[in-house]
Amino acid sequence: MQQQLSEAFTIMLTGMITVFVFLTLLLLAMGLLRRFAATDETAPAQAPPTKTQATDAQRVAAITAAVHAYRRDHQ
Amino acid sequence: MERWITLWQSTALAAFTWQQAVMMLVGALLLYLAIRKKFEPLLLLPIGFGAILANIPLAGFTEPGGILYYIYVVGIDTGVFPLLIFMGVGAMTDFGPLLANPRTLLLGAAAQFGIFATLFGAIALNAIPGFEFSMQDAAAIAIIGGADGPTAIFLASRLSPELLGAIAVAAYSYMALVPIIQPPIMKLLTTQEERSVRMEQLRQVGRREKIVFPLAVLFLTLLFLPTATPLVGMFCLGNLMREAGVVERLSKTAQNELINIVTIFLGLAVGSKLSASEFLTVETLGILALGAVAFSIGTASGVLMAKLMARFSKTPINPLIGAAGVSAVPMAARVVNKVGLDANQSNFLLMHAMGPNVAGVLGSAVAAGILLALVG
Repeated sequence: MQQQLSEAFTIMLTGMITVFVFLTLLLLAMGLLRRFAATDETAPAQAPPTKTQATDAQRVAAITAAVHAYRRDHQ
Repeated sequence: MERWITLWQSTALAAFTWQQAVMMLVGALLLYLAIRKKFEPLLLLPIGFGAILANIPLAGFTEPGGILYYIYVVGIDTGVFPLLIFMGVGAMTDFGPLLANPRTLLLGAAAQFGIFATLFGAIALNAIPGFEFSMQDAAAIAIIGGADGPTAIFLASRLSPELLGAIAVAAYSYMALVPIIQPPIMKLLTTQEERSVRMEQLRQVGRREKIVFPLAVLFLTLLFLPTATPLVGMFCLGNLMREAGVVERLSKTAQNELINIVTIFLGLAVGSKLSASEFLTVETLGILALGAVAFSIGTASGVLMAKLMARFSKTPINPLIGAAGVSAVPMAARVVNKVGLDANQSNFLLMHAMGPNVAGVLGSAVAAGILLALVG
């Protein structure tokens, strides 16, 4: 029992340390990743689509017209 | 007269044992929880039904020749089903929030303390007469703290198949109970002020970064922790299919049709392990209790780690997001968001909590690999 407990304790310790070490390595890898992979992406990501209320209203109008046309043809 | 006796003996009524009746009630309870309470219905419904089928006397569902037997042997004994599910989960996971704030990986790591503390707790439970958990059993039970169904089933099938039914049921039940278990712990460990901390907007993450990330994870895993590669590998495959953008059909299949099909069979196979002889033991009660402890410790250690990080960080960190470090995607992140909103009406933490949340998935897969390496 005593021996089993101390074994469980060592597993707890080694396990926890390993999880931390592994994820810290991954953290470092992500730092590198950001440096090398993120450079070319800034340009396209910074072009938000110009979405205004006007286009939304136009879209709603178009959908409404289509629904009306459909109902008219399918009566 | 003899014919009548033969006929009587072939009915279920004559062959029923009370244990089987109790297990059928357990199955019915799972069905009730799934249908009425909407507790992880995708899994608890097939598990509950499987439990009922598995305990029908004379039908032999779980003996060689019975369908549940074959489903179990093909899918869980081999480890195939949980791995396929993990691929689907990978295809559903967006690593963007984690890549935008990589530090949250440490929160996913801290929350795994729930797993390892429970391993210790399971062995300590052996002091009570009636419990005899081996180190393998303890490891399989502890993984409930990872709050990740497929990981728990995978590890249990490797280390301790006879406890698999109880472990899977505990894992999925507690995942459904995340909104009840976590908030009191989160509130206990934080002040109102800490809970209302606003975090900075996350940066945009480039496509190339998202494509290289699963490969980097796989590379590190195969170098340092090969025992975790079945889980991590399938997960990364799913994620790469998602992010690559060239195999949309495969990605869609992995996250919809395939995962749905596998879920049905996985549930049935887990249900087939809910037989009276394996489930109606004191050990099951121990497993249910340990599972709750594992969840609570995981949540607490995640929150405490987040508080520690907040102290040393230049940018503000809301300690609540640490609670999402136990995986349970996306439920845990939603809980964080809700508790955050309770403290500050205009504070949306969901995306910030998704980082530690997916880090938790990686963390528990890594922890499973470590346990396999140490006690497998």
